[in-house]
Amino acid sequence: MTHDHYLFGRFESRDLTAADVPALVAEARAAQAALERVPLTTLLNVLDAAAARWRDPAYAGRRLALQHMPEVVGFSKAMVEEALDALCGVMQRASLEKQIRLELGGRQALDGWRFVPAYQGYLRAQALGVVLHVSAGNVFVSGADSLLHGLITRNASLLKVSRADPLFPLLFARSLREVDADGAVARAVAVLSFRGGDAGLERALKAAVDGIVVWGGEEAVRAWRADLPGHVRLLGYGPKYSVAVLTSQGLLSSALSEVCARVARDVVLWEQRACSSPQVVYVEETDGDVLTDLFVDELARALDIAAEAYPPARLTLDEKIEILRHRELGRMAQAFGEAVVLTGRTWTVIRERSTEFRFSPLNRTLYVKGFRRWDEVLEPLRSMRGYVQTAAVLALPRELRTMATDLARAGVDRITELGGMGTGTPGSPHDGSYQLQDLVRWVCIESPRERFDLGEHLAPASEASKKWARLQDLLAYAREHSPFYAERLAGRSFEDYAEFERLPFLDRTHIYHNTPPQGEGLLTGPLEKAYVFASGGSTGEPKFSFYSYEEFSEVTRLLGEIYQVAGVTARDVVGNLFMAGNLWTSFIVANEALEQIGCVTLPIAGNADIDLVLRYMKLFKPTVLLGLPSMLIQLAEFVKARNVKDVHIRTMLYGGEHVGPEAQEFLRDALGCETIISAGYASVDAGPVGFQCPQSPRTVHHLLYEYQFLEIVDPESGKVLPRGSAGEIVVTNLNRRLMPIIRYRTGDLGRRVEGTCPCGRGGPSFELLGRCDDVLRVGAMSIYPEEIESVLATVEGVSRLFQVVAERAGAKDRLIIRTESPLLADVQRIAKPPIEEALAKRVEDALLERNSELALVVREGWLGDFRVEVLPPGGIPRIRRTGKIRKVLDLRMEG
Amino acid sequence: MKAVDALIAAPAFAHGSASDALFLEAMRENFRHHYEGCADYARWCGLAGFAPQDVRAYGDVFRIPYVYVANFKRRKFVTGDESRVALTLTSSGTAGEKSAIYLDRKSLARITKIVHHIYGAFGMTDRAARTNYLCFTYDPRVAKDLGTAFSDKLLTGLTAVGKVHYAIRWDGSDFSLDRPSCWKALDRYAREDRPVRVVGFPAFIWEVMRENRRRYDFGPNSYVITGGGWKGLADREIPKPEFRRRVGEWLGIPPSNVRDLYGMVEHGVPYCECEHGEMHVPVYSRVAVRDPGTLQILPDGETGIFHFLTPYLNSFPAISLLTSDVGRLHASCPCGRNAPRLELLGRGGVTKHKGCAIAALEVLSS
Repeated sequence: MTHDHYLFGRFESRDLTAADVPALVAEARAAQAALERVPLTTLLNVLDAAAARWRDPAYAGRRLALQHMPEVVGFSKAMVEEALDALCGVMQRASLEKQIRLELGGRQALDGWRFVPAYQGYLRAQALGVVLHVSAGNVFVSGADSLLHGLITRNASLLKVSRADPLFPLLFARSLREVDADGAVARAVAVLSFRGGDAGLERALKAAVDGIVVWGGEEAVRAWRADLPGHVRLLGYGPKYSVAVLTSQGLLSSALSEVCARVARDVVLWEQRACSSPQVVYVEETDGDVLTDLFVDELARALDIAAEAYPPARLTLDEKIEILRHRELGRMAQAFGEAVVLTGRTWTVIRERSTEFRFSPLNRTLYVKGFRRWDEVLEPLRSMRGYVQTAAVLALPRELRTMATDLARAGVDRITELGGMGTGTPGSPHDGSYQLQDLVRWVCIESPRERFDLGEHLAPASEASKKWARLQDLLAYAREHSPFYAERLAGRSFEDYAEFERLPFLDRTHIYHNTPPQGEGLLTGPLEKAYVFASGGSTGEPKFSFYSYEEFSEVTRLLGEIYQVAGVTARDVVGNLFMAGNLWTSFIVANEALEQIGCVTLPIAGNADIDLVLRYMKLFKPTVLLGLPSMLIQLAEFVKARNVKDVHIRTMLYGGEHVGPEAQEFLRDALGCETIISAGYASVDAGPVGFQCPQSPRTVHHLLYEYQFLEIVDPESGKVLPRGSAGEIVVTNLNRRLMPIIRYRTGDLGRRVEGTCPCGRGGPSFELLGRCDDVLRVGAMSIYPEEIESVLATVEGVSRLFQVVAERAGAKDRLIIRTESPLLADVQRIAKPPIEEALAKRVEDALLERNSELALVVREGWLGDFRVEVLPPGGIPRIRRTGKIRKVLDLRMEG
Repeated sequence: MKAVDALIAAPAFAHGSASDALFLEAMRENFRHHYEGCADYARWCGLAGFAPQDVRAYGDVFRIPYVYVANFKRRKFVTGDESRVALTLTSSGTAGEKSAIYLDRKSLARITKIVHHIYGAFGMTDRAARTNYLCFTYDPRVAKDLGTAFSDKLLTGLTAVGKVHYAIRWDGSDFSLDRPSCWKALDRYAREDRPVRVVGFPAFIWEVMRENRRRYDFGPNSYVITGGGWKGLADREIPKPEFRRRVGEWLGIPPSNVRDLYGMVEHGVPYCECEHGEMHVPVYSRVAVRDPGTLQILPDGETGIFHFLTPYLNSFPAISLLTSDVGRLHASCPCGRNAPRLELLGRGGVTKHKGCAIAALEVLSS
C-alpha cells in the first residue's frame, strides 16, 4: 500500500519513518510561527470559505467525496452528505466564533491579550505549538473537525489518518489550500498516513510534538499515552457510551411517533458509530410494560422510515456477525421469556427485561429496557464511569433537573434531547472539557501597572484584502438570508471590490419599509433573541432597528472600550444621563458598556426629573457624566443657577450631537470638566462607527476599523469621493447579521483625515462636518422636514416652502423654522409685523400641537431658543445655482 | 443398531446418497432425543416453530434449529440425566464467558471413534508404534476440564504412547510456557528411535522452535498436529506453507506431516488437514456456510459463517450449532477424497469471539 500525505501544502507519496520526523516537525514549527501572525479573522475566513465550498453541490471535492466515501467508509451517500453538512456546520464562521466566545471568552485572547476586569490582568490563549491529531475511523469527518480546532487555536496541525479512511483528510487539506490565498493556514497542516504500531515512528513523534489529540478506541488512546514525555499534552477522546432515557411523564406528554422518529434519527445517524450514538434506550414503566411495548412497536416503524432517507451502510462480515451474535443471544433470551427481538431489514431492536449493562454492536442495533427504579438506569452507567458520554433525556421540565444531576453524578458528560445526540451544539464541552481550552496554554500578565491595549481592538492596523473578504462574506450572507438583499444583490458578482461601489445605497426609507411592522425583508431570520430599538422615523411614523442579543453585546463591548479610551476607569462613578425608555438604545447600551469597565454606574437617565438628577449627583458624586449635549448643558445651567456646590465632573462624554467650543467652555466652567469628549459616533441603524481619543481634535474620530466599513460619497451623484474630499458618510456594518446594514447613508457629512493621530493608534480617522441630508439633530431631538411640511400643510395662509435652521445660541442650540406667506407679498410695510406675528403664532401652535417631542424639548428648555419666521415669498434664501431651498441649514459647526 | 452408531461405524470420507440417508436418520433420532430430553432446547425449538416430525427429507436436517455458539456459554444445556455426565469441558476464554460442554460416556465413546476414523483415513493412527509426545497445551493433570487438553488426550490416543511432555506448566497459581523443558524433551526424544508427535497451539511451537538452535531428524513417521489458531497473535501469524517448511526442517520431518486441525469444543468433530494441507468434512457431520446477515445458506465457494450439524452428541444438545467462524466450502480436493473441503478464513465478530487460543497466548506474551 502506498502512503499518500499532504505535507504543508504539497502532496507526497512515500513511506514515513522515524528519520523523517525531525524535518517534518521543524517544518511544522516554522509554519506555526507564520500562523501566529495570521489574524483570527483571516483564519476563520479561510475555514468559512472552505465550508462554503464543501456546501456547494458543484464543488469538485464534494463530488469526489460523495463518489468515493461510500466505498471507503461504507456509509450510504445520504449519510456522507449528512457528515459533510455537519462538518460545514462546525466550520462556518458563526459556529467557530460562538465556540471561541464560549470556550475562550471571546476572540481577543486568541488574537493577543485580553484584559479581564475581575482579574485586573491579561490573559492570552497561546497555541501549544505542533499538535498531532490521531483520527478514528468511525465518522470520517471527525479528523477534519479535530484539525480545524487545532488551526483556530493556531497550532500547526498534523493529522494521522485512520486506516479506515485515508482519503477524506486529503480532500479536506486540498480544500484548505484552494481557499487560502495567503497560504499560511494551508501550510500549517499536514495529513500523514502511516500504519499504527510503528513504534519507532510513533516514539519520534511523541518526543517532537507539543500535544496529541487521540480519537478512537481505548487501545489507541493507551498506545499514544504510553511513554509520552511529561511535557506533551495528551487529549484522549477514547471510546464512549451513550444512552437515551424516557420518563413515563415525558413519553405521555409527547407524540409517540415524533419521539420514535427522533430516537430513530439518533440510531441511524453515523450508523450508531459515534461516541454519542445511543446503545440502550431506557423507558420508565409505571404499570406493566405498556409504555415499552408501545414504544418498541412505534420505533420499529420509525426505523424503517429512517432507512428510506438514510439507506444503511454496507456492513463488513465482522459487523454482520457481531449483530448476529446479539440477535441470537436475544432470541435465546426470548425463548426463556427474558427478551423480545424485533428485526427489520436494516435494524435490530432487543427489548430486554434484564437490567444488565449492554453494549450494542452498533449499525442500527438498539437495546430497549423498561425501568421502574431510577437506579436501574444509573447503576449500569456508574459501572461504566469514565466511558459514559451522552444521555438524551425525554422528561418533563421539572423532572429534568434532578435527573440531569443524577446523570451527571453517574458520569454522564452531556445531556441533550432526543434526536440531537449525533450533532452537538457549538460551544458544548466535549467529553467533559473544552476542546479549545485544551489546545492552548493560558498565559497571564499579573497586575500590569497600566493597560496597554485600550482601543487596540477598535482600530488595529489595516489590511485591505481582509476587509474585502469580510465584505464578500457579508454580501453573500445578506443575499442568502434576507429577501430585501436577495432582490437587491441578485445577479451581482462579488469577485471584485469595484462591484461593491456600484451597489445601491441603503437609506432610512428602505429600512422603514422593510422592517417590522411594515415588512421584514431586511431581516435575515426570525425575530428572536433580539432587541427592538426605535431609530427615529420619517413622516412622523416610528422606525425600528433590530439587533440580536449577540450583536447588542458586541456593541456594548465596543462602547465599553470606547469609554475607556475616552478616559473612564474602574475607579470612576459614572452618571448615565442618556434618555431611557421608549425603545431607546443609548441608556441601556451605556449601562452595559459601563459594566465592562468595572466602574460604579448611576443609571439616572436624562429624562428623569432635574431635581432628582441633582440629588443623585449630590449623594453619589459622579466623576463622569454620559449624555446628550442638550441635557448636559441644561444640567449645567441648573447647577450654576442654583449654585450647587461640590460638583466636579472630571470627564464628560456626549453623544448624538456635537458640542461646540462655547458649549464646551460653559461645561468646563459650570461643572469643572477636564475632558469633554465624544462618547462615540454612532447611530441606531448603523451602530457605532467611530470614537475619540483624548488627542482627537474637534470632531475627528478614529474609525472602528474592525466593525465598520466607511466610504465618503458625493451626496448628489453617489460616487465614492477621493481621499480628503468632504462628502456623505456611508457605512457598512461588518458584524451585524440579523439586519445587515450595507452602504447605509448616514446623512452626516465627513472627510477622511490623513496622517496618524498623536495617540499612536493606527487605522483611518475621519472628521464630522455636520448633516448633509434633511434630518437635524437639535436639542436632543430629530427634526424631519417631512414632518414640518405636513404640519405647514394644515396651516392656512402659509406656503409649503420652508427651511429649518440650527444655530448656536450660547451653549445651547437655536431652532428656527422659516416659511413664506403669499399674504405678505403685497402688504403695506406698516401692516406687515402684525400679520407676520399672527402667521408665525399659527405655525408655532400647529408645530407644538402636532409634534409632542418638539413640545417637550421647548417646554423643558433644552433648546436655547425656538422661533418661527414667516417671510414674504422669495424670502428664504435660494441656492444660487439650482434655485432650490436648502431645507435644513445647520450653522452650528461653523466658526 | 441405532442410525448414529451405524453412521459412526462408517469410513470417514465415504460421502454419498447412502451416507446422506444414514445421516438424515441419525439426525432425526438425535433431534428427537434432544427435543425430548432437554426442555430448554425444546423451548428454543418452540420459538422457531420446528419439531421432530418436521425432519422428513435430507434437506430438513439444515432446518433443525441451530443454537448460536455463544448461547452455550451463557446457559447450561444438558440432555437427559445430568448425573450421567462423565466429563465437563470448558473452552478457555478470557471474556468471562466459558463454554460448558457436558459429555456422557456415550458421547465420549462416539467422538473417540470419530477421531480415530478420521486420522485413520489420513494414515495417522498406529496403535503399534510407541510414540513420544510434546504437547503444547495445558497439562491435563491440572487442567483436565479444558477442551484443548481433552483434544490432546484424543490425539495422543491415536498411537501407543511413549513419553509425554506438557509444555505449559502450572506453577500453583498460573500457567507458563516452559521453553527449556521443551528443548530438553526433544533432545531426549532424539536419542530414542521412536516417532515423535508435536501437538498444540502453532504460536507456541513456532516460539519454541525459533529459540532452539538444534535441528532434529525425527523422520517421516513423525507428525506435528496444530490446532486452535494464532488468535491474539494474529499479526505475527506465519503463513502455513512457511510454517510447514520451517517446522519440518527443524524436526526433520516432511512438511506435509505438519497438519493443522480446526475444531470447536462445542461441536467436537475435528476438521483435519490432509497431506495437501486441506481440511475435510467427514460423514459424521455436515457443514453449511451461511450469510451472517440473512442467514441464507450460501453456495460452495462463497464466504460466510459455519453452521455445524452432527448427531453424535448424546448429553449435550449441540446438534445444530451456528458459529461466528468465517470460511467457505469447496466440492473437491487434489487429494481425491470424496469429502467437501472446508476452508477456514478467520474468526468473525468485532469484539472477537474468544476462541481457546487467546488465554494461552496471553501466557506467552507475559
